Amino acid sequence: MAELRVAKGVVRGKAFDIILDGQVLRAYEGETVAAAILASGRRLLRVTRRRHEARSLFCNIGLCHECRMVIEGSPNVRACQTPASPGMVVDTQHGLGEDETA
Amino acid sequence: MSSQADLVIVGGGPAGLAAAIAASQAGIAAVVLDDNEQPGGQIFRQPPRGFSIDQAAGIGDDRVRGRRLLDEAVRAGVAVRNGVVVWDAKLGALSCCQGEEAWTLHYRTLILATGAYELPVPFPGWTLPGVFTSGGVQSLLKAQRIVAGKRVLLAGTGPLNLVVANQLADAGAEVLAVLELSKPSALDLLPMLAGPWELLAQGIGYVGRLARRRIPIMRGWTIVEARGDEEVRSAVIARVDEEWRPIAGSERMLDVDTVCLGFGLLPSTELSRLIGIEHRYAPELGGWIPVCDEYCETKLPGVFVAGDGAGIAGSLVALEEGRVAGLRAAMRLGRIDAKQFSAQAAPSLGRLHSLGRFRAVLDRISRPRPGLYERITSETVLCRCEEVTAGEVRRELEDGATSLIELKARLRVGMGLCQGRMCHPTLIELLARGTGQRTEDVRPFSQRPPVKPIPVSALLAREEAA
Repeated sequence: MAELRVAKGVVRGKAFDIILDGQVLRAYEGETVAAAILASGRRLLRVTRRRHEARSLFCNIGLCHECRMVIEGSPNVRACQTPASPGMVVDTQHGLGEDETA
Repeated sequence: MSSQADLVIVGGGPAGLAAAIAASQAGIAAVVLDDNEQPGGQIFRQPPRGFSIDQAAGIGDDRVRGRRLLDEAVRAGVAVRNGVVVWDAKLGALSCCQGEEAWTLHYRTLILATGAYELPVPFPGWTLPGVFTSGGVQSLLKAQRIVAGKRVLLAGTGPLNLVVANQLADAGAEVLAVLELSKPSALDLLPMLAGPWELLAQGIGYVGRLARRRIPIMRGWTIVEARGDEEVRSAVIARVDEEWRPIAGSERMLDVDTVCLGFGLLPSTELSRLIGIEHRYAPELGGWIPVCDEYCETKLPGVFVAGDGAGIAGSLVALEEGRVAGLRAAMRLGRIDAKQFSAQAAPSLGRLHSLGRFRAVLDRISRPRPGLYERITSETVLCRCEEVTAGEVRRELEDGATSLIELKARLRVGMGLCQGRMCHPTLIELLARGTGQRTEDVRPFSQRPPVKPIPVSALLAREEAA
């Protein structure tokens, strides 16, 4: 899916990059991590523990916790409530986001 | 750490802000706590810092109304503390936390203006990426100017979907249709003519704009399944009967990349339940709602509820209830007398009376019907956190489970991070059907602190202080 940011009638904040699963991703000041990822056309934020299903943003108001990701090394952080910041390291969460082989 | 305030307001949406403004005009500096980054609530959500959005960019007039209210709040000297989570409530004291910092806030009067969230309605495929709540898609668009997808289907009931459909189309998305469960007859709508004109005109405006764009509003239709592997690729839709049961053989398939679900709202009653306010079951207002008098005061002295958290009624009602609650709190605090209260609250009470009539019609049309829950297939995931299916729940019911507590103990439903917000309403409905109880006789999960996940350090800080 192509760029989903609406261009008309908006001046965005400063542009910067975050690191999503080791890849550079463009974000703008004021965007949440979830918003920046969805804007790129990607939906996958996490893979569930029991059924290994893909999950994405659902409620976008911090209640459903479907959007939890590993952000700056911490698992279970809600991507819809976390403002993106320059150089932020974000990873797709698998299961509980910890090393489950241990 | 601990502090004290005459009036604390939880929630910085329309009800909370209106309450703070009214209180401030009566000489009380309220402490307003809000867990979002910025005040305004969901409906008046403002763009993030660093963004500037052209008001004419087709984002609807909610934000203009919101901006006006926020400006008024600033002029009245109202300060909103954003990013604060209130995670426990007792009579006289709230437990608050912001990041790693935690404190107890003592209050003399309290207004809970905690708002609402969207009723989760499970069906096969509703957990697929690309299936969102309509409100979530709207806030992504309003606040961040990001459109959730290219080929969009909206399904559910009520006016929000019509608003979001227009906003998505304005932003360049292809909106295939709005599926509306209810089929109101002209007779149902007649009493609306007596209601406030701006609401009626607004509703006609949304429908008219969709018609001009040739976006169909399919009344008596709904989504029955979302399909796709890694994300949604198609939607199966079907006609429904009067009780919202899908009609076999009427199914059609649509290619989509995005589905928005707007099935109405549920009041956020976590704090009102925790503090011990009596609740009553009012399905047309969103289920269990706190009991209060016409001045928004509960039976707990000095504790008020206002806005959607006190029963779903929309932002116009929230503004007036907030104002009434703010003035009443000022009276309880001795800043105005009963006569001044009556005079100052009269316009709001009058508006509430006329808004109430309009609302009653919408409530009747959009009240959830049984078909909503009967179409949930066994494979459908009910509890998103613990990944429990409807089939697993039904099996436990056949095995003799008769309460939510038993379902929780056996299946872990409601024990995940959303704290039951996503599965609770559906579990109650399935339990009622499985055990032959009425919905209102099913005992809900009991509310326990923290009502939202908080860092352990915040909990420890309170334990140490105690």
